[in-house]
Amino acid sequence: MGSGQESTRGKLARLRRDREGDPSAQPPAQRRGVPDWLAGHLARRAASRPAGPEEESGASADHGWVRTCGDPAGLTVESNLFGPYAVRREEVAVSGFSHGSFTLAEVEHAAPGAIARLACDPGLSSIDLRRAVFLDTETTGLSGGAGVYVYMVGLGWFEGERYVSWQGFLRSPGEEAAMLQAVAEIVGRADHLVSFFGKSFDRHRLEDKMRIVGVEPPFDGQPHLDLYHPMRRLTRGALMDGKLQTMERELLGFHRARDLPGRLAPAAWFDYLAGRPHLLEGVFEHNREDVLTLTVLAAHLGRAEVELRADGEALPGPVAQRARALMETSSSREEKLEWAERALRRGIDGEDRRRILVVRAHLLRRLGRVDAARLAYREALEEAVDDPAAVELFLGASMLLERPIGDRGNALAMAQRAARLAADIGRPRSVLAKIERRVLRLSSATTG
Amino acid sequence: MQGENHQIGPGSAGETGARTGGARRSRSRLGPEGIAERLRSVQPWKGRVVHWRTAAARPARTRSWPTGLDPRLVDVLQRRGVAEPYAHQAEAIERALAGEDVLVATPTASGKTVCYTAPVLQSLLESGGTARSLFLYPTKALSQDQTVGLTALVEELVEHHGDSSGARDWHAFTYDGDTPPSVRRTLRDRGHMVLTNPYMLHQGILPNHAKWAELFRELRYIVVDEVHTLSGVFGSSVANVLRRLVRIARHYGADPRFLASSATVADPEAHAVRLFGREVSVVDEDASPSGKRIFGVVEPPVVNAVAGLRANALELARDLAQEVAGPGHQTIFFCGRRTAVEVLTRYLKESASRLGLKPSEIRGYRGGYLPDMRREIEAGLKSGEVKVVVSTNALELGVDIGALDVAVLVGYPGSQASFWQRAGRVGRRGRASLVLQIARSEPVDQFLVHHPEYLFEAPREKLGVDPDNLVLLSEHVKCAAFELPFHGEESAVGEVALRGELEFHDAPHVPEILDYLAEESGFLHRRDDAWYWMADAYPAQDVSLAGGDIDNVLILEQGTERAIGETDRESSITTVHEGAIYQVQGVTWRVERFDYKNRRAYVTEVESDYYTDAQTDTEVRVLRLEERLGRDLAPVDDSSAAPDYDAWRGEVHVTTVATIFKKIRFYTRENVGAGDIHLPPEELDTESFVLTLSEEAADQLGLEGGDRGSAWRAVGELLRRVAPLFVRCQPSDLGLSSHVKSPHFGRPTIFLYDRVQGGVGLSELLFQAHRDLFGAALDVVSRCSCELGCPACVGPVAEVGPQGKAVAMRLLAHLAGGAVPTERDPEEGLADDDAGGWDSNEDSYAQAPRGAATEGL
Ligand SMILES: [Zn+2]
Repeated sequence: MGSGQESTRGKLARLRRDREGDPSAQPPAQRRGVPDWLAGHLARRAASRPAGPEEESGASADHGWVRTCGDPAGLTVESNLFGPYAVRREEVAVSGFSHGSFTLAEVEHAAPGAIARLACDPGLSSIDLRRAVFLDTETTGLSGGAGVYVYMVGLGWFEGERYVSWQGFLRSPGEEAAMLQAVAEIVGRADHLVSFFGKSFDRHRLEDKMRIVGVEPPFDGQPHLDLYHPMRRLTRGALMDGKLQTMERELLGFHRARDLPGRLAPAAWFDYLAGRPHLLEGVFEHNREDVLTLTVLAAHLGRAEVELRADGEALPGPVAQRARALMETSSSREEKLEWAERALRRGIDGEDRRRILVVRAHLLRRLGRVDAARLAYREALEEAVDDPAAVELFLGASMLLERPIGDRGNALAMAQRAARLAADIGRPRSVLAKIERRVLRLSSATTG
Repeated sequence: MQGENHQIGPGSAGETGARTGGARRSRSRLGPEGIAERLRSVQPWKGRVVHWRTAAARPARTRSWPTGLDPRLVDVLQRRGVAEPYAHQAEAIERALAGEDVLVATPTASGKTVCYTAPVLQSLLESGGTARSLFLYPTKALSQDQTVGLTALVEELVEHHGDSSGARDWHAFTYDGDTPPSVRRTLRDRGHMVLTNPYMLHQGILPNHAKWAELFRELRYIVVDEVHTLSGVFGSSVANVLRRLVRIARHYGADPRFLASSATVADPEAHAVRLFGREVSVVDEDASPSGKRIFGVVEPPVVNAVAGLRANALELARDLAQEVAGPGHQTIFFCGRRTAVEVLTRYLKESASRLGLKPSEIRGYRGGYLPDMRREIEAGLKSGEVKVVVSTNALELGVDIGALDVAVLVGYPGSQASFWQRAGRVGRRGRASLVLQIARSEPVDQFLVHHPEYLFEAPREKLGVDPDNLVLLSEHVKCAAFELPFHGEESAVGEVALRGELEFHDAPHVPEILDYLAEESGFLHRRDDAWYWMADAYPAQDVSLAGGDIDNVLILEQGTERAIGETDRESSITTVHEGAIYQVQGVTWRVERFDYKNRRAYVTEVESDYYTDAQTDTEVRVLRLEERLGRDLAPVDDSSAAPDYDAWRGEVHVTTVATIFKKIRFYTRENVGAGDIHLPPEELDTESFVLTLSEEAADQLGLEGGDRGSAWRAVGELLRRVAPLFVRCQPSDLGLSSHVKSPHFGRPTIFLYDRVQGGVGLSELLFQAHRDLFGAALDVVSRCSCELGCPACVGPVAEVGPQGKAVAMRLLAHLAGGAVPTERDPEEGLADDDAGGWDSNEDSYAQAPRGAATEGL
């Protein structure tokens, strides 16, 4: 293999240093074994990598955090059959603990029905947030694949009057199995899992890594509340984006003192492993706050149906969009109509408004409230006459005119308008055919 | 299904009747034998078909089904009409059931499919449906075809043994780029048989192996189809992908076996061992039956005797169609390039009525057609509606089109395996078939005109695969480290070796590569004797199995940044230097700026009436000589023996500098200007075959005077051109550098080097086969009908000089004749002061081989 005497000695020295945990000592600069031309090739390949983490570092890029060296503070080492792993665990008393304008105690009053309804998941209808585990992870990349490490798993749960913040952390990649086993046990004990975008991301990262290291994943069959979807439904159009940080600011009134952006998380761990000064303190704080936000956001969601906090105060958040969300998730026509009216009254605007106007008109027609329906169609058509939604309106109006009102002539006229518009805007052939049949039927009935 | 040997070909004679009138009627009678008879007796064909060979019909040799094979499986196969398997099928199945890794190396349509479907289905029966298998096919079309075939077989099991077999729940899926994401999950969890290709395995499955944990845990068989396509850079890369695959399977506790198939190649066992990294049991005695087969070699007439120019092969194919295409049978034409397919298809459609055909009965087929159209043509061929198909190698592999009647190969396809794959497209059960090969003005084609037996004897060409090529290895070690960490251990003497690794354990330099990736590149983290992936990146995405495009140069339109094309690193200095004219499908672009460092060339569209031709200087420096074979001249008197020629194998460093470019007017080829090229040299560390001739021998042979360099170079060029007869490669895979007095050796020297960084084993094969190369090259020159040189032998007289052909012939006669050289010490007799040792040659042909204009046609 061509390693000479000297390289062997160098290798030994380095192995010893590594074992003694002195990562700051640099290996000898000389290359062992790899032919020069191959080193040249590898160097060219490394140079073509996109800008790495190091390039981004520097005090200004550290977002107010001071870099530290060595292990993060406050770690305790636990172990299981896979070996040792490190945890940072903190507990707070539930009563009196605030997160923004909310308190942890408010989870007590979250209505499971509201959560299940807005999450569109009947499996959550008995969710008890006090028996759930809240989860957020930090990984070495978003690209996915077996080489991505979940190096920090933040969990939160209630234990009686206390709230536990548990952060499993990999001091080295070799501790992966032990840490993931601990995560699997805690998650498996909880009745429900709560995350933010975790159905699409965190769960799969964890599941993949657990499969690789031989830990049984706890996720199958466990009800999972992914807050992203219901919270997005409640706020879409009102908030600038669907990020957790935006929601906590706008809904919970929580402002982070100095947040380390998640995209710096991979570099923080790489720096730590390489023995460089790192920003892991910032990552720990970011992750802990994310989990707390999840917890309180779930409490918020559980009050969305009644729109009041437990103390009777109004629930913060965009009210028109909330009404729209409740309209979308209503189970009866009456209730749906009620929320549609509210959304309109609360000033929902833009495309949402036109869509709700259509929904309201249809609902009124189906509920047999003919006059109100007629008015609603008229109002909707005034606003949306050149909108694609008008096809539905013309058709609905045509139905209303034909059946309860009995004005076949105008019913035909409406159907013809629907046909023209549908053709103009290029609706699918099946839709056009359906409208055409209606036109034919009405015209034969009128002439005959 | 490829190799469905017991299906009887569709009847095709005359169903479309008299619609096209008299021509159709009169032509519908001749079958392959009748056509051959006509070509033998009627001018001009009588004179042009220079060789005929007939292989008599051969009966099948069958055996009973292996006793170990599940009776339910036997039943289903028998219901399909296979009462008994061919002896080679039974043998292969038996060995697979005994737990061996098996390679079946028999011709197309010899029934290879059942050799792996039977063991795979048996494993499902035995395991109660938990066993999994992974199938690798070289193309998407093949894996889709085979999925249909496997599914049909499973359905038959369900139909006849549904309750007892459990086969109802078995699924075969294709996993490729077309698989919708919504289906992928089902496929991962419930795909008992997953059919994919090396690319998907490399970039999709292996890096995400956790998602495929179900498959890996129970992986019994890895089926690799058509392994003769796995050579060179691609084959060496796939060998590494297979290392990664088995490594992951072992991680999940599985120990899969390989079941592989191949066309007939030389030494299939050696190939399989390199590819799979383990001993493989080879079954290569074909026991399938065949009808009478008639082969003919067609030589285009000489149109210019002085220059030795022959008629164009494609035009000859068009003329030949008058004889071999018709409504009563099916004919396939194979062309080398896509454009040739289009041209010939158009020719034939235009003359359809004279062939007694409708234009719609004549179809082209090539890669780049939409899948639907390809399926339609395949179905038309199977049903007999399509009478003539003109194809590239796209129909060479096992896509199911049934058996046809006449095959015309426009030019030698470059390898025996390809030749037989193409020839294997014709021959219905119990009927005669005809294969006609048209020779081009190429040394290899001309060699075959005079030595058709080359095609019919045992295969001679060897496949070069080197999984330990350091460049490829390092890329795949990187991918493997992403997939699972590597562990090391220190021996008593302090050497670090891999621990718990079987697949990469014996590969060279792996611990060093891992250290490099950890310490210099920052991709890995080394801790406690383990290397962990430690970067926010997805390495497989940047590693191409075909090689090259790692450092590819992107060609962009200046201003819009629109991508026009790509070129590989080595070619970039001669094709996209500033001022170069870059051509794509008839459009000419001028290179305005070449950002060498960032691998980008910026071009603008121009109406250019000239193209550019760059000149290069190549220097070859010998790094290490590993093997040597040499001989001495026969002593003239009692003086001591003088050395004659030596063949060597070793490592070299090649530096190629682009110097100037010429502007050459289209059509007239007049030189209308020139410019300098200022680019850094391309550096290549690789392996080379080296030929040296002693000064004594050179004197004896008259290698002197004005033609000295050109005749010697012509010998080198010819060796390069005939190399594909013995080594599976394209001439362009080999670089050539020749010297009449090399500084390193101090005598006439020819370097034939592997043009892949690190080499993929070609030089070793050349070294082994060098005597054959001499013989074939001599044959080509001595039999060529030109007077003083032509493109089919040593090159035109303008290049080799008036004495060039004679001197080259004398040299080759000397080299090919006489005693066989013997092993010698590589360093003996060389000046040891190799200070610098740069061999600067007079000329290099690494970039622009002579005859490029006619290559592929
Ligand atoms: Zn010639």
